[in-house]
Amino acid sequence: MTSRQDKRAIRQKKGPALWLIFRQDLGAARTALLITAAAILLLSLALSRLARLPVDQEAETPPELLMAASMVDEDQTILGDMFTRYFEDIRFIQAVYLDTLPRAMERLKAGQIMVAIHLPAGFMSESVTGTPKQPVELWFNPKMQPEAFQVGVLMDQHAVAFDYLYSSIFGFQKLYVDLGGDEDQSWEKATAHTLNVVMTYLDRNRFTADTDLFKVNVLVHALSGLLVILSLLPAMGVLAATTRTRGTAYEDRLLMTCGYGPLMTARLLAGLVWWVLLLVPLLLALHTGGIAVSLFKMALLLLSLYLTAAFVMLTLGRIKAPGITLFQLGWLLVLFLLVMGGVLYPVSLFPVWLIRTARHTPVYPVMQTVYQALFDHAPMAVADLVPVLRSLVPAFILVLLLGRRRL
Amino acid sequence: MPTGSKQEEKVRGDSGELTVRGLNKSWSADKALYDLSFEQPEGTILGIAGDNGAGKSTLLKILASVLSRDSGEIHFRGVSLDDRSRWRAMIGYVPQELALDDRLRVRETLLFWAAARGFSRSGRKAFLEMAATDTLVSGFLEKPIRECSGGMARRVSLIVGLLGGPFLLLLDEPFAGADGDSRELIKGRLNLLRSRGRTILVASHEEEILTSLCNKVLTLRDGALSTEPVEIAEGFMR
Repeated sequence: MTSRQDKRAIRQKKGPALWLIFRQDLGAARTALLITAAAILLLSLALSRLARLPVDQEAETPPELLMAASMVDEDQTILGDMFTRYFEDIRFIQAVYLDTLPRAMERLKAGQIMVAIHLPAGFMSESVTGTPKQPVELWFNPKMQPEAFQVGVLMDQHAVAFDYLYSSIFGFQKLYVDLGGDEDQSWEKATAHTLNVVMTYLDRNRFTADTDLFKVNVLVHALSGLLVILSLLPAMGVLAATTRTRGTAYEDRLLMTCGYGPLMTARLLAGLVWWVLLLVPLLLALHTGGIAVSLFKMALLLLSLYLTAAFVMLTLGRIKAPGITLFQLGWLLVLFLLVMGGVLYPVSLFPVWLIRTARHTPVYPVMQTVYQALFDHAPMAVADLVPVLRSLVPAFILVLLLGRRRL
Repeated sequence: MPTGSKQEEKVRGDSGELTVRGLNKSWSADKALYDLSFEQPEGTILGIAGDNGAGKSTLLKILASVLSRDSGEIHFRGVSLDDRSRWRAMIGYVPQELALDDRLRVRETLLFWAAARGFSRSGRKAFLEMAATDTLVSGFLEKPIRECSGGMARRVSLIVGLLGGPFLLLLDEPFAGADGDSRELIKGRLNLLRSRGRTILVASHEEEILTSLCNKVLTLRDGALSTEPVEIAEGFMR
């Protein structure tokens, strides 16, 4: 028999071998599969009932994200009023106190407020005349650093915008007066125009639009997190199966008989069966309830996440270390992905550098997309599936290079 | 026009023997096998003796193509070990550990490995019918592996290794944990296979068994041949 015929014969062997290993692995987990199926079925029924309840389109604000602020406006100007009104309209700000600076400091120390905004004496008039103005001071609560940091970033962005507006508009108005125009009329018109611009600017709310902090729905977040976690769990089964047989005589025998490919594929398929069992009933319940509109695309997205994690676990399972160590490493990796993906804690409350890092981890785009789709009850676009490929493709290459047993 | 190496392979193929030349294998700084060379004619049983850690299992794993070697040439029936797919089609390997799934029954185990070997549905059925009359396993086909005695499990492991009728059979401690009856049954089967022209390598630390079974015995010490191979006189082989 020629070498080519031999190879063809071996390829023909792989199909039945794959099927047998797959069936054997699943058969061993028969009881666990049945119990899980029953649990998921119950959960799906509960979800479908929940989905029939009237949905409040306005996202509820979790109490732990509510905050208070103090406004210290030394001159009681219209600008202070504007700021106060603006903050009162933000859902996350429970109350805005009009305080003196010492009172605001007391509140900060007592933990009653997260931020105190201080408009110094002469701020408005100095701004209007275009002379160098004292800075607006922000005092943050030291006990709530991540949240205060988030507010600080937003306020800094607004401050830059104000600075630009004042220097351009009032500066131009001062120039007009210096050139000999009617001083009273020009002050009046320029001030009105400036305040209009500032109000319009604040209403646009542009700096808060691209973060998830301002529209968190705890229920939808928990649901998205559950789907993500359930997508990752079967990958741990893949790791367990890999470490159980790694380097054993049983694996040697299989390797010799049908190659390593069927063994890897059978593990992926067994994980896939678990994935189907865990996810499909839930997705169907959400779809029938009208919460998950794009059933197929959402399933594809979550499946890609499973495959990414499974490829990584297949590779991890081949590291020469005790099985228990690898299993612990696997769980640590999953925990890391869940934290960085914003499943356990909103990523927007991280420092900026960490937010930037988190955006490149595999779970983040999936969590964001699933959350958005469930929150808006909106269909997903094909483009929503693209970000997950950034992780899936490298994970596939990784498993091809390092996940296979080689001689 | 065939190349030189192909002509060489043709010559080796005609001889049909197992040839190992300059085989080396090391684990980090430790030498597991050192410049090992030997030949084994077709239709014979070669014993590999040696203490624990002498390199017996390493040698068999390399020959089974489940472990890489550092250097050396290995050929059997004109096929190089490097031509892995053809090599694996010719050999049967019975590792030291049982390498069986103890959740399965003996019958299911045989079916599993027959399918993994690429047997068709009818082939698997025929194989199972044959197993039902085979003295090695016929008495306990429905027994779960986890309930089999050491000797029974060894016999199942041997049958699995024999699947597909391999020309070269590699057995690592095939008598470990086997009682007297099982040992006799296994030895009887190996003698039968030899008489049918199969080439067999048996690694064991029990030199007495090797002497009574093998045509020739190599003794390994620290990964190298400790003495010249000992030819066993016909009369000593039972």
